[in-house]
Amino acid sequence: MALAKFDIHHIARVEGHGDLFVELKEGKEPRVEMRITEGTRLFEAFLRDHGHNEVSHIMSRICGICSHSHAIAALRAVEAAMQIEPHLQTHQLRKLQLIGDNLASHALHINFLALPDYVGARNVIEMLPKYQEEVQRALRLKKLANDLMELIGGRHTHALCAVVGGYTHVPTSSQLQSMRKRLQEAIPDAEAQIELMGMFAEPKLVRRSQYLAVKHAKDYPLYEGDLVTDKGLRVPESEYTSLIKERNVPYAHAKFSEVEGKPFVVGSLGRLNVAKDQLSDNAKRMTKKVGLKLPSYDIFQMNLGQAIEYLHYLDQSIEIIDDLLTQNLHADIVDYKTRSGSGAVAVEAPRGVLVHEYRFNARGRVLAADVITPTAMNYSNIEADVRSLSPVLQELSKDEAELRLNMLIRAYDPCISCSVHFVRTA
Amino acid sequence: MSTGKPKPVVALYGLTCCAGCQLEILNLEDDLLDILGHINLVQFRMGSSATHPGPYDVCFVEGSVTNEAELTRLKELRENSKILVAMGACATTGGVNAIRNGRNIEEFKQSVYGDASHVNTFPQILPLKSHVKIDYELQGCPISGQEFVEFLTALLTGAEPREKNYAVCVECRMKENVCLMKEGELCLGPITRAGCGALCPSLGFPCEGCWGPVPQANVESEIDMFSQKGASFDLVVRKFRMFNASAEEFMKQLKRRLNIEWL
Repeated sequence: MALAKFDIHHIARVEGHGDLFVELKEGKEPRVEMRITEGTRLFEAFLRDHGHNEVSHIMSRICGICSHSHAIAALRAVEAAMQIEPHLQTHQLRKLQLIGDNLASHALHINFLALPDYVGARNVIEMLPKYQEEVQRALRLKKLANDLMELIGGRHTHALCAVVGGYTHVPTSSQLQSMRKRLQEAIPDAEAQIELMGMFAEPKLVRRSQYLAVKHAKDYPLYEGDLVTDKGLRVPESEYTSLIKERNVPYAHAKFSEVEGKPFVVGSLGRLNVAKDQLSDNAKRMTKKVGLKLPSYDIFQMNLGQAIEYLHYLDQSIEIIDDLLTQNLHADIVDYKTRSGSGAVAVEAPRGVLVHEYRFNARGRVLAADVITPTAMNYSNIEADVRSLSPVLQELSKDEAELRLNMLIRAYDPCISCSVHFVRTA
Repeated sequence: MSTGKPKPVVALYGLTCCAGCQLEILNLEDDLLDILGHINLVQFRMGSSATHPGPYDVCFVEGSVTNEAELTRLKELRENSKILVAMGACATTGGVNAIRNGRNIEEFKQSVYGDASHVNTFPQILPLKSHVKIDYELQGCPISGQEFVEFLTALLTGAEPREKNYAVCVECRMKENVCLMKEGELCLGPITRAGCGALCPSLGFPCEGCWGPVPQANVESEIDMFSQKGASFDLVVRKFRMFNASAEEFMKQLKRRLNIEWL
């Protein structure tokens, strides 16, 4: 007989449509299913036969919230397949776009999606009377990120200037200078955001899992590198299939993933647990100030982790702009020859490791595509977390238990429309 | 502005899509709190755990209908809403979801999922107006936040929302851009509805048509221009289908001009 059953339909304040089903049974493993009900979208199938220079604009449409991450991953993968080497300024502008994506998504998730639960509200509007300053700050932090994405990519959702080999349009030096000033001025806001999220030590769910990020020799995880876990596994991004194993589940339009047969975590804790030493000095100082011990195995600290990353990425974007200002920026697309080949890359989207892989024929047309999104990577770990939460769930009232489950899922900042439909074709 | 009248009850819904249009509304940081002061936003699953069964004065729906459950949902929303607004390319012209139209859906499913027996999806993606009566459409992939504000302002003040019945080219000329068509690019600006402010061409990228067909679009002449520039048959078809594979105004003429059976 079931001790308790939870059937949470259409989890709120996450992107997309998903349900959670939990059945706690006497003396048995609980039954836990992340039922991903978002309609399937079949991107990898309909992408076939498209030209290599159409890929990034189409794949951007996988997700509004992390559209820049998908576009940049697609561009890097196309270039890897065709051995195209863009100039330094292109890489730096793309890093700024990726940072913008991470900043905007983090500000949205921390303040609008996660925070209401911690202050007893159902949405940001209900928070307004008591938390006017916090909401205003959140809007400032979000707007700054959107303006950064628009400045570099041409639009905050679905950028358009970044193309294979370069950019059709670049910002002027004076635009970059005024953006730099705004990024610098936002540091106090970013620090206040960390202090706010640092106040919420409860609830906790400490369970040691595996943590995965795109690790680079010089920079905190972002644009390129090896896939590295906190347990010391390391593979080049192009060999992701040797590390990440996917499987179908009958109740979801998304594939679930494991590393060495076990669930793993990507996202802010994935990055922090693998690369905490690469944080900016500001971000390290604030981590210490709020008393976050890294590595952390408390999944609810994904929220605080994002706040720390907001500050880190601000610092990193200022560094990149300083570097760009020493160059003579101009719209620049390298010459290249269309050729057959395949390329696989990984970048850090706001929710964690994002893999794109494509294979092209000699005319540069897509033969096959594969995308693994961070949310899909996290599903298996979410289910494992819910199972380990079951003793606690039995002690809570039904409403409290449902809220706890919702908060747990929201801590992962899932992007469900991203996660449906991604597997290797052919 | 307080007129003493009750605020309209407004809902935002998402069907299958990238949620970018709802995000464009959230991205109106400077106006967001002002907007929320003028409407009673009761349903916004992406931003609130509160729910409201309706009826709604205005309901905005983004995304496409891809299965029976979504079709039922859309019909309920129609029943429950005085004004139903289709929002974004997925809802108005099929968007990228409709690229599947006319293709072998079973093979598509199988190529993505292997055993696809648990995957339930329609082979054809249609604009929402083909399923239920739609009162207004906001175009774009994603919509423009500014157009959303203009639209809402018109509704709140009792004015008839203004439709832009002219092409992207008009906006592009007003910006005094160099014509990308003359530079040899394949630009859909001449036959695409204005509203974006000629965003892409102003940044050196040819229009991809995400605002959908402008009324009385001369599709045949556009196809001929593309062909004269050396575009292959396949490329022309892909250009027209990227965001508009279920926009009848485009597909009918494309089918006739290029004699394509499967469209």
